[in-house]
Amino acid sequence: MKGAAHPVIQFQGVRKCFCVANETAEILKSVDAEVCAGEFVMITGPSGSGKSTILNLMALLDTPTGGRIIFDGQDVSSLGEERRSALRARAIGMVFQKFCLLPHRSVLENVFFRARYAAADSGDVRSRGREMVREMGLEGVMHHPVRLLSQGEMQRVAIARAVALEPVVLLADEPTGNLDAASAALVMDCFRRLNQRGITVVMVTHNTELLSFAGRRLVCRNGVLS
Amino acid sequence: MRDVLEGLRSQPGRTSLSFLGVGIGVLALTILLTVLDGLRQKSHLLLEEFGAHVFSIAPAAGSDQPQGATLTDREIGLLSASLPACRLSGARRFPESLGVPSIGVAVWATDEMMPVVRQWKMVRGRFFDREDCRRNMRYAVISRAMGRLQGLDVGRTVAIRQASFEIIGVVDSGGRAEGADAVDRAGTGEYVVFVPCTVARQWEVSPVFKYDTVFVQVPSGQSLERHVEIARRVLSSRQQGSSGYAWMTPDVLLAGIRKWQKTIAFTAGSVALLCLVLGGTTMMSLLVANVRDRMAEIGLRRALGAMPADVAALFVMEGCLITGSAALLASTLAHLLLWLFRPLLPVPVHLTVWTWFIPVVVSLGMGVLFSHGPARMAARIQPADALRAE
Repeated sequence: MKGAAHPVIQFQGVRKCFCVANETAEILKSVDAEVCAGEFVMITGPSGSGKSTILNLMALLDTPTGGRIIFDGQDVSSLGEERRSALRARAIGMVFQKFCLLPHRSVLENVFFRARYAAADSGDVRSRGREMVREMGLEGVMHHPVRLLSQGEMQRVAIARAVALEPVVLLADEPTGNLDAASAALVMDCFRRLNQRGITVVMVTHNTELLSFAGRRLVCRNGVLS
Repeated sequence: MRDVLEGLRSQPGRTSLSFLGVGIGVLALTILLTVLDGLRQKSHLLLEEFGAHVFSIAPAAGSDQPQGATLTDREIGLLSASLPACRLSGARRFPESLGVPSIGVAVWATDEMMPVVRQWKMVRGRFFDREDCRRNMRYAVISRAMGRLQGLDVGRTVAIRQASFEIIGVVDSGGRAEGADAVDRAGTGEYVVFVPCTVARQWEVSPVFKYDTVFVQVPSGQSLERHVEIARRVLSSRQQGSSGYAWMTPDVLLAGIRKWQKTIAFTAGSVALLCLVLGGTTMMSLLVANVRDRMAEIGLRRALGAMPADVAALFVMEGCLITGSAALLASTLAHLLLWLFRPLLPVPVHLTVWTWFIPVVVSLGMGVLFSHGPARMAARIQPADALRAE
């Protein structure tokens, strides 16, 4: 399935197998997919279908057993860990289901933590970070420790962190999985606004009610993407 | 550093336990080092006072009996003839209070060779010479400590046995060894006055002047043991064997200290090592638990671009921070306690920058060693697995 603009992520015959108790389980079977710049793509499917595996591969957190992954024009399938880490540091923003924030640090500090392993100008990071915190509507709590925020606010902090360095792509793994309907709506609105600003978004969710936010939907079933 | 501190703060109980374990080990190590250094210092002081390449001969206890071993001018003459390359000096101790009854002041009657044989340095003035001895001059040479104790110096006089002795010199006779060593026959003590033995002979009723000790200096490069053997043969042919004499060599002098050193090094060293290993393994097991509890954080760091080495470095730094800070505190505390209670301790201690610094360095090394395993474990965690675990 192909989009109109230049592809940011391309999967070409990607396979992923795991060894479990001396047996090999094939989670992904020859996945071909493409995400173009500026798209909002949602990957849905039942539990255990391989959605999160696809997202981990896109985030360069894992390597495929077979096939090729092209990220921003570069074959990253067999890239060394140092190069992959560098790409994760600058080009990929991630939002997790359970937020993954540093509980004792403030909102701003969590956002600035985005640049912890990136060779980025600290002044740029700080100004952009503050801008994103405002964008997420968290200006009033920017100095509060994140453990004191509501879950919806925490997820918005995570989003601000993920985009603080203007990534090539924003990947979200069940970002509304732990949120109530109102918070989920707020969070999805944030994603939509970011996408409208040109940020490519790929989201994994099993909540089909969120499909209206996406421009394109991919269904993952039995290790195959369609 | 903030990452490291946060990591430690997130598990205060485990951090405190590790800290305590390592701290106890460092405390034991510090005490061991200060005691060993104290014993080393003591041996240096004893040797300094005794003199290098010197051995002494003294009549053994019970030798004041009529048939017992003695040291008189005759024996000294025989020794001198048998040991032509050596320098000899005899001395006789007369206990005197000299106005300070609470302090063990000793008046030693000796000859002009004493400072030469013992390799003492003159602080001021001079030692009495052969001519002074021949002319029975009432000259005295005091030790530096004696001068400080009574405010005495060259040119002043000191009264000994109702006679006035002019102080002509101040000598650094060592004698800083503490306890009974300072006044036994091998050492002259800290508070000393030396007078010519020709003058002291007048204090004796007996026509034969008996020496308490004879010191023999062997030329450097020659075997001390061989000269001791020669002296034994000379004296055994005079008396009922050489067993009537007590023979003091540097080895004998230091034998007691060396035995202490070995005993303390073995026992306290074992305890210190055990405590350190125990502290280290406690820390290691707690770091392993930390790694498991912080899988989500590890996954987050990897997702943000951290390399495996960055994750490993985090845990190594945590280990080093625990051990380093525990060592700083424990070493400082140990030094403070030893400094406060030093007079009450049965063993000598010597507190230096090194006895403070070495345990800190050892502890940091331990931090690296025992955090290596957990750090490798954390580094090997696949980010996808870590994020799945959260």
